[in-house]
Amino acid sequence: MRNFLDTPPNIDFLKIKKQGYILSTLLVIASLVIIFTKGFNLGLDFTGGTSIQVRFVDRVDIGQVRAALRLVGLEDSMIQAVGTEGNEYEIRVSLKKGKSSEIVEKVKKALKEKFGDKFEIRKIDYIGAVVGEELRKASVYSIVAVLVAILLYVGYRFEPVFAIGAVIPLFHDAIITLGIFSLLGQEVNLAVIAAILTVLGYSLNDTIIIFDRIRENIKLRGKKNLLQLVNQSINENLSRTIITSGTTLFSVLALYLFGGESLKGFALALLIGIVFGTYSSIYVASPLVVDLERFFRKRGQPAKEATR
Amino acid sequence: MKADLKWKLVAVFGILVVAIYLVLSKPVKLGLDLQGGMSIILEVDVDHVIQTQYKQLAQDIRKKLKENHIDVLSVKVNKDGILISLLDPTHTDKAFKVIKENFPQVDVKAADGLITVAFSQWELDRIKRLTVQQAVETIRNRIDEFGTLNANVSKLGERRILVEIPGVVDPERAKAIIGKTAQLELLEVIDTAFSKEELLKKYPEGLPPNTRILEGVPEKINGKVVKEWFLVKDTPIVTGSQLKDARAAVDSRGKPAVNFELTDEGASIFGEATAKLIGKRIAIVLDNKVVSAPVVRSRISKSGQITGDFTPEEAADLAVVLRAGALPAPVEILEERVIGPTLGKDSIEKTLKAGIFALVLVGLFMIWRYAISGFISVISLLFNGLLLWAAMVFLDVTLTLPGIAGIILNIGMAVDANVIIFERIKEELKRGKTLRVAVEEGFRRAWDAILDAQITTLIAAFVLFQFGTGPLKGFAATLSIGTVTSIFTALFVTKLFLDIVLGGKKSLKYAF
Repeated sequence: MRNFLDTPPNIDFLKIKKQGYILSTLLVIASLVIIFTKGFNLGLDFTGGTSIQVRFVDRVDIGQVRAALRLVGLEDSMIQAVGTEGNEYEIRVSLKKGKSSEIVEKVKKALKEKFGDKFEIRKIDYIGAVVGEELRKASVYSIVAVLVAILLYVGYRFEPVFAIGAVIPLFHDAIITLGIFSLLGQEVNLAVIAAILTVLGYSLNDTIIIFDRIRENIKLRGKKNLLQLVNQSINENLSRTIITSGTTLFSVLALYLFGGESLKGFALALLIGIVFGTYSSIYVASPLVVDLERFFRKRGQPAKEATR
Repeated sequence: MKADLKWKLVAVFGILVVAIYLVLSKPVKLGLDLQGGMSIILEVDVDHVIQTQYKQLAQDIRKKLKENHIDVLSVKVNKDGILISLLDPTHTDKAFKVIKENFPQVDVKAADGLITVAFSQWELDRIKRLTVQQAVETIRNRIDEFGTLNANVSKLGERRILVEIPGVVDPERAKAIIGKTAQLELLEVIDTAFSKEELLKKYPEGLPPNTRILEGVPEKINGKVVKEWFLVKDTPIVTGSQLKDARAAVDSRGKPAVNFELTDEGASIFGEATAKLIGKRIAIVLDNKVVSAPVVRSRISKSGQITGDFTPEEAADLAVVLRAGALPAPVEILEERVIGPTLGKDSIEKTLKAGIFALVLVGLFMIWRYAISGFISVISLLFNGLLLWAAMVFLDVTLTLPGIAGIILNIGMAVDANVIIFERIKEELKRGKTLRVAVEEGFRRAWDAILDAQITTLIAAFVLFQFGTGPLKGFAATLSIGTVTSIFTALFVTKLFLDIVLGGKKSLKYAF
């Protein structure tokens, strides 16, 4: 049992590569559709505004919090539960309602009136419009920067075909992760962007390990039957792919389950990203190498730059 | 044991000792999100300073031109510079020369009696730099004056300032101390009224030259709230820069107030001015608001009093702020985060639990799958944790909540290198190679893939470090440090222990 996959299986992964392409394309399109129609539940980092996290001594339901806020005209603020104990809430007030000082005073006053001293303000965040806008831009730039840097690095270490084959799945992973966040209405904040950047760097690991094996096998046997060679490489590496992703998933799972509310979104993004990253290294990256190679060869690209 | 193994063991032991020493030498710095506190990002309105400097420059240029007998039709200051039109266009070249010679810090363009003057880029940068630097120093002074706050004030980018105050803080009070411009001016009052319109109505032909209108502070007189508006001379008699001291006090009615004392220079200027203003009012102006406007009864030189509707705490804070000096320009709060102490404690407890869980899960799996080697890789993993911690102490990296997440993530990622190597070894063993050969082969062959894989993670961490804000920088830091240390432990330490345990054996049960 502990030696599972010790003998490489002989699964014809690439036999269903067409289905893999179709599935991936559908997932990406669906994600894009959801993102563009439903949009994101953007975090405070990007929208700006004031967020106040309050913990009550007793259980309080969301209606009571809203009723309290009605006293100061802030009842249309976003109120969301923090954790599952039902005594902690985040109140988010948009920039239009005023400066953080005024908002905090108002909220304090309202809560005091309704709940007396039985609450504690645990966190206040205020993000101005300028910073929100900047962070939005910086997030997009940084994702692009990582993709370009990775493309260049992989292009330098492997043949161009491999570089393209490695980077396209990264778009796939990032878009699907964002799509799922949009679908679930999960908050997209800076930490989630950080998680996506990490996934871009990490999910490449699997791909590179497979590519490394493909590169090695090409050296041994040449590019003649690339399809079969890639298939074999995936099979030989299957245990590695599963175990490396697995141990990292253990860590991420621990973070998701026990790491507390502040890290939940972050851990979820990693979780989704790593799962799809593993899938895409087998079903997107590897078949792409085969097809791109064929494509370029048909167009008369000299096949002699096969191995470097 | 072979000699080279012995030396390697000594090296690893040496690193272990240094790492333990570092870890014990001082605690790792905790971010505000873990220990609680407040962080504020301020933006300094440097354009305001540039405007003021242009106004001053315009006056100086006008004077210089007059000295050189060049008649000026008008001088206008706008946001990009000064526009001067000459009465006689034939003087253009002469004026150009005069300005060029006397004001080397500006770029001048001249044509047909119109001259535009603007600070050179170098000068603009210098002004910006100095302004922000001065603001940083002023805020530092204020915090020092205040005494109890152990804050960190630093420049952030070109025109921003980051203030971090650990521990329990009253955010409103902290903001009042940090963010108040505290520009004190004593100005001659020319006229007053109870509304702006009323005041403007008195001057149908426009305000007299070199004056401005200022708003007073609302006051309750006989149960009615009234607000006075003041027409004052533009140039102050003295400003806060001529203050020697400011102390909280009480006024004649027993209400909180701030007493101030002028420097000798300020006192002589003020004394001279007030001697001429007996019976008239002077406005005590704080940040463009008239806080009080007493009538001058006699020559005043050294001291004065700011009264207003203060609480004792506000009076004390105002005194602190005035003593420490005015900010060179107004500041705007761009971002503010306040974290209570309980939240940080909770986060530490929770992530600690998550970390232990991850470690146990990963460790058990490694031992289950790779037996003796797995056990060795777990020791390497612990060693990696120690190195990571030591590196953070050594590099003075602040540990934040995302930073802890980075460490936990690192537990799962750090073993990846060993997994890749061990899987390779298993493969080689299956092909019938001896244990010794398989181990060598596994480490040799896996090197490329491991390096490539780790470098891409480092790329992502590096970009994140560039763009991330405070807490996320902590994540990028632990992720990248952990990645580097794990390459060392997974390749070097694991290999060393494997060599010692397997000791060149051809085979060993449960080796892998």
